[in-house]
Amino acid sequence: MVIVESAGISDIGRKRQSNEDRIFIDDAGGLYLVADGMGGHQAGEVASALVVQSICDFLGKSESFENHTSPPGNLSARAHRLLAGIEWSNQVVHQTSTEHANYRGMGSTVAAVYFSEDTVIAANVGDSPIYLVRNGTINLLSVPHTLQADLPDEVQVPFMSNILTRAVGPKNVVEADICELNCFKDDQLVICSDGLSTKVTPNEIIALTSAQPPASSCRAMVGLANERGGDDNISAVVLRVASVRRRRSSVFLKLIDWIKKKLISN
Amino acid sequence: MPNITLKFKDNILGRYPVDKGKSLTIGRRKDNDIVIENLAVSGRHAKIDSVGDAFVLVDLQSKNGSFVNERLVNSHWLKNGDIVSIGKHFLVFSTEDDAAAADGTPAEIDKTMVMDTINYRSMVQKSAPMLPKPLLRHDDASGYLAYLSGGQGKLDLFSKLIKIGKAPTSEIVAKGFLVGETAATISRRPDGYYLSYAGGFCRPRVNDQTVRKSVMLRDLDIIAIGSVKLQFFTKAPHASRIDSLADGGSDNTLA
Repeated sequence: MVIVESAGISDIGRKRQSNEDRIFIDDAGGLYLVADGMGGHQAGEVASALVVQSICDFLGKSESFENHTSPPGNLSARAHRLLAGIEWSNQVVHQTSTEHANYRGMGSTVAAVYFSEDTVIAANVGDSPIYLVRNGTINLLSVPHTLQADLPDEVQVPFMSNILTRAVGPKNVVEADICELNCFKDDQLVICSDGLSTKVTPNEIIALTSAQPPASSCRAMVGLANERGGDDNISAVVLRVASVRRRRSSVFLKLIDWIKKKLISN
Repeated sequence: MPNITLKFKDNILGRYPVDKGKSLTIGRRKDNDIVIENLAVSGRHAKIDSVGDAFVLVDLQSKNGSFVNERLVNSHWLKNGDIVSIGKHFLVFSTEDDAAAADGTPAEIDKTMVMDTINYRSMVQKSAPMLPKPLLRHDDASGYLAYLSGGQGKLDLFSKLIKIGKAPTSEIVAKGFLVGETAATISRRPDGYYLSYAGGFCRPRVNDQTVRKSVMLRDLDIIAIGSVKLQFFTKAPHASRIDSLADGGSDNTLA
């Protein structure tokens, strides 16, 4: 059981007329999402809202099946459910975009963090990053799906960083990148939209998340991104692992088990 | 009369009429009809020719290329509303007399957009002469574990999550009284493999250092837990691609 402290802000920024970002926070379910929509005529807002709504619905409904699905591969059952939820949201957005002329071609990124019994699962499509801050270092758990990310660092093509190679919605199938890892007390996770990650560097994220509760670090990061222009919508979700309770049978029970085994084998 | 509006971000830098029967040149040098003072723009970058009633944009083998509606082009027949991108500047082509039309549609290119596979491929393909091949992503790299004791052979790390512990369902079964059912995990993250402590009284050791939380695994690291000792190896299957970049990359690198 992982206990998490969380906070999130979605801010319109200073240049845009509307907020196409969506965030979702559910401490009880252990699910945290950031979606950054794109497409004209409010379609971006529609796409990101649909992504969040459909993933929540999917994970909420399939809760009861958790113990029945034997996970293929090595990821936990929860990780597979999250992947299935993202695929489901892609179908919902794709279908809506083909049915309504105004929404044609709309899409959204999604960055999801989902806690299982004692691991954390990070999955993403698009360029909304998920950072892990642990022991004063920061690592990216997400894989940026941008044209720029596919090229070596020294090649800078104009506005390539804005061009996504994957998103939820534009095609009838989507593949998310996922990783699952053990988490520890005081780990912090930062999920954000590119409106924040293009303005605030990873080192600044370390500085702003250390020694203050998630709500304050959220405000500080969004404030900084706005001070630096606020060119895009700015969203941030900050999580701090307050405690991890591992299932562990007592030493005494283990000792009895061990003695029993020894007796039987003799 | 058709015209071109030159923009940088949201600012309009100038508006140029496009006359039938005349050519317009675009570039960094002062003698162009449309001068864009930016190092990303070539001296003579592109031109717009009048052909019959229509106009065609021709890239003059510029270093960084010309894009129309995000596609890299050599030549392109201009339509009303086309957005030509050169460096970080935009040129909006408009056939409307009403100049306001060009202002009303801000360059959507500033926003995030999805590039479909066809665009992506064609762009990369056309860009091939100037762009080095994509480097391998860490995702392509893989590692494996070789048993030093407590087992035999080696184990390829294709999975996202590998469990080490006493549970028979673990990929790597480690024996020992104090070893947890799942004692440690190896997760595959975008930047590499990480070994984490997962449970039980016996913590894993990497190169004789006890792992309290998690460590990134490096080539030749030695992992010990309970009865098992393993060595981690990274594979670099596409090393040749890196070499080819190092050989020919310097003169191809974009400004």
